[in-house]
Amino acid sequence: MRIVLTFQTNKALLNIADKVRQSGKAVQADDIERARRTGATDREVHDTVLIAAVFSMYNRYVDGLATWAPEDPAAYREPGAELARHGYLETDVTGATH
Amino acid sequence: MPHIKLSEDQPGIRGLFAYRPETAKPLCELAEVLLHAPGTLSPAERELIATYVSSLNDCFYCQTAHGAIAACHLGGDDLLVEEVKRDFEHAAISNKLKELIRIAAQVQRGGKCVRPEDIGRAREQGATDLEIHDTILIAAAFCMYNRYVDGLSTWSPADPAAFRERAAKVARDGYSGIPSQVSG
Repeated sequence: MRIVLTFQTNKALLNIADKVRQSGKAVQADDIERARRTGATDREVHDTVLIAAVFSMYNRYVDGLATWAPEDPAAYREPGAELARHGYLETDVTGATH
Repeated sequence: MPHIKLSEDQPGIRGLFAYRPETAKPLCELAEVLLHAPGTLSPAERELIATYVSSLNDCFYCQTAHGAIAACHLGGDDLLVEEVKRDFEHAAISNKLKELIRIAAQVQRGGKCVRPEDIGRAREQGATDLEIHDTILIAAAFCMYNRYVDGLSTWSPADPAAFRERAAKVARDGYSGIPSQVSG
């Protein structure tokens, strides 16, 4: 299993994600073909589309209810490190681990 | 043709659930909580919100599947579902549901499109915080499901009648059992 995707694969998957953000129907066979040519697998294409779709939900949820957010990016470092280390199930919403 | 190789006997999101059971489970659990679990908004009202957002996103599979489930909850009233999709302002639904659908439509355009006055109008019609929360999350969730279904170019039966039997089952039993139905 490849741990790091190639630069070209990353670009092709980001292109698909951007299409999904606009609309599911915006993803064309060409976009998929371009990703495949760089070595992207079905699973990677699937997960890219689902991640982009899921963040089209999370973003609307967060902004649709006008939640507040710290303005200083530094405030995100510690919770971000916790999430990176322990994942999303072991970290509660305040950033403290169980 | 789907963009990735999927089981050919499962349409729409069901083919995707069969492809990736690890993601099927939380996606179905979310649908169960939002659309089927007990709540102050009826399952019919929640399915109508989901159907309306899916129609704005032009997702044929989701709007037809959830429209059929809404109709089941409404005792088979397909006409009301069509009215809501075509012109909800003049459909025979409560003023509260009209305000919630208006909020859902703003969410579909973008989270930042929801204005305090939209929320205020829903409150004036008696919507609670939890109902406003759930409406926004249903609308946001269908911006996900619709993109997932169309972004991978899944197939869908063209005839709405083909959705009826499964819709009746989902209206009765909910969404939690779907991952085990589509596997294998």
